[in-house]
Amino acid sequence: MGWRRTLFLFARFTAQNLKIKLEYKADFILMLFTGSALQLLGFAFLGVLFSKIPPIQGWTMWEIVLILAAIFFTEGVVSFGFEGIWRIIRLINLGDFDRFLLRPVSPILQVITSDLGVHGIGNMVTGSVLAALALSRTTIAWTADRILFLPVLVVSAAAIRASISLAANSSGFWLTSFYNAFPFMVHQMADFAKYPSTLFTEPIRFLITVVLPYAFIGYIPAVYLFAKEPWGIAAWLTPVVAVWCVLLARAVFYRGLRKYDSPGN
Amino acid sequence: MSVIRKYVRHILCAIQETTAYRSSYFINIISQFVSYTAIFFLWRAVYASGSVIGGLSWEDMQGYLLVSLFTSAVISGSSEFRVSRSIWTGNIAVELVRPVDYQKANFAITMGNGFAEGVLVAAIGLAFALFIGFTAPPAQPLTWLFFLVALAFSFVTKFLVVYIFGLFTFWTMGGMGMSWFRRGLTDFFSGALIPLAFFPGWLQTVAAALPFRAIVSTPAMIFIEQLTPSQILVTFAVEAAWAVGLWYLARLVWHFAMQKLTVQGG
Repeated sequence: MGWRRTLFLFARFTAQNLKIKLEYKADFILMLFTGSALQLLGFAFLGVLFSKIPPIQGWTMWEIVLILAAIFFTEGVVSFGFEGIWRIIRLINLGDFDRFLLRPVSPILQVITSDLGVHGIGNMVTGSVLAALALSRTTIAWTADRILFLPVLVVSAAAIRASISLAANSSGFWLTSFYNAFPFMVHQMADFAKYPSTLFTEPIRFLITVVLPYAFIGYIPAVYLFAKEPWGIAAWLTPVVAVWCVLLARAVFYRGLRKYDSPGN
Repeated sequence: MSVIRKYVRHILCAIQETTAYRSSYFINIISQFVSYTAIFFLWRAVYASGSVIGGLSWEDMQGYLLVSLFTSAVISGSSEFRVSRSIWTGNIAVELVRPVDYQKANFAITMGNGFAEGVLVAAIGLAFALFIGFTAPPAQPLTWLFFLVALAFSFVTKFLVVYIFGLFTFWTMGGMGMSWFRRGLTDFFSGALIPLAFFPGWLQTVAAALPFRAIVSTPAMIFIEQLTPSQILVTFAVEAAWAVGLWYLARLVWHFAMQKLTVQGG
């Protein structure tokens, strides 16, 4: 299946999902609101914290807010377009996965578009607003490379996030318990990426840079944009890391699929 | 007497259930542990530049985080989605047929889970204490007594908040959003992430007017001996009033829910 057809189907499936969600208007509005409210509380946390203290390790509040905004925004993108990833375990357990295998469309595409998280819209909006505020209150030397690279960073960050979630949720092929909390645990590790990595000890930094490269979503690009450290140039690796994550997640998914044994339907 | 025995049975079943599905609970606890580790390092960096912030020293802050981890972990996982799950799946229909009071039964089950989970959480808490190098538990026996009472209020308040938000599923039919919202709200206004003493004045007033501080702030502040006995007694009185108020609020929400119950199959 060509990538153009994949993109076309992705857009169609997402549009259909949006229509489904719009049927439940109260729930739709509520989910929009809860998504943003939660992120705003995360922001309020930093606001309260920084009202009492000087910059942390040379990072001002708004610089950290940019990292936080990157985490929120990518979380929003993944919730909006790829929420179905979080349904893998349920699909496997209830045998609903069978029908995905019968259709002539990539099972990954069908899985990720099997649901849409309305709260993702709220997260994207809050993430964008916080990013805009952060950018207006910090100084970045906007050289041509930085401007051109920004969209690449955003797309790569979303791809990293989605791939890690897909790989973690594919654990459902092996751990068949209905209450498999492993993906949530992996998801939770992103908490370490909400702040500059230098706050943490070496093993944690290794974990979020190499094993689960959440650091490439916000922290490393922020080091590059604010020209904090000479190694900030490592941010150029972000698209490479993204491609690696996508390929790896895809491999894990198909490896699991080979193990898939329908529980009956 | 037989009325009580009915609910004691619920407690015992819940203990068995929790120990039977301990792997999922264990992973839930680990994710709590991850969040708190991140927060711990953030605070460590914050305290690197100042010895006392908002009236709390670094040792105080460590004790505070320890209690915050403990109280946040006790009702989570299994209890969080019990009500909303039974509404999604339609099992609520079966629950309604049972000759028990749904609210009391839920409280009993949460208590059972709480006992079983409490042991695990205490173990994790101890590991966390060793990990952060916390070595200054309160010396006064009276502090421990107050702390235990505060934990009881924490438990009751959190159960009622979780339960009421769970009942909202009757209207929204989607549980996750409500649960996140609840979590965000309680994490912030209970002082789980940041002590209420750090809040600006107006926000402290808001937090003081809400019931959430009973969940983390009160037990944590008692544990690090930041409250005088008279302050503690006044706080307990307010929390008791809130507990009663929330109990009847839950009844009221239930009453309205029953009038528009939709059972999706069953």
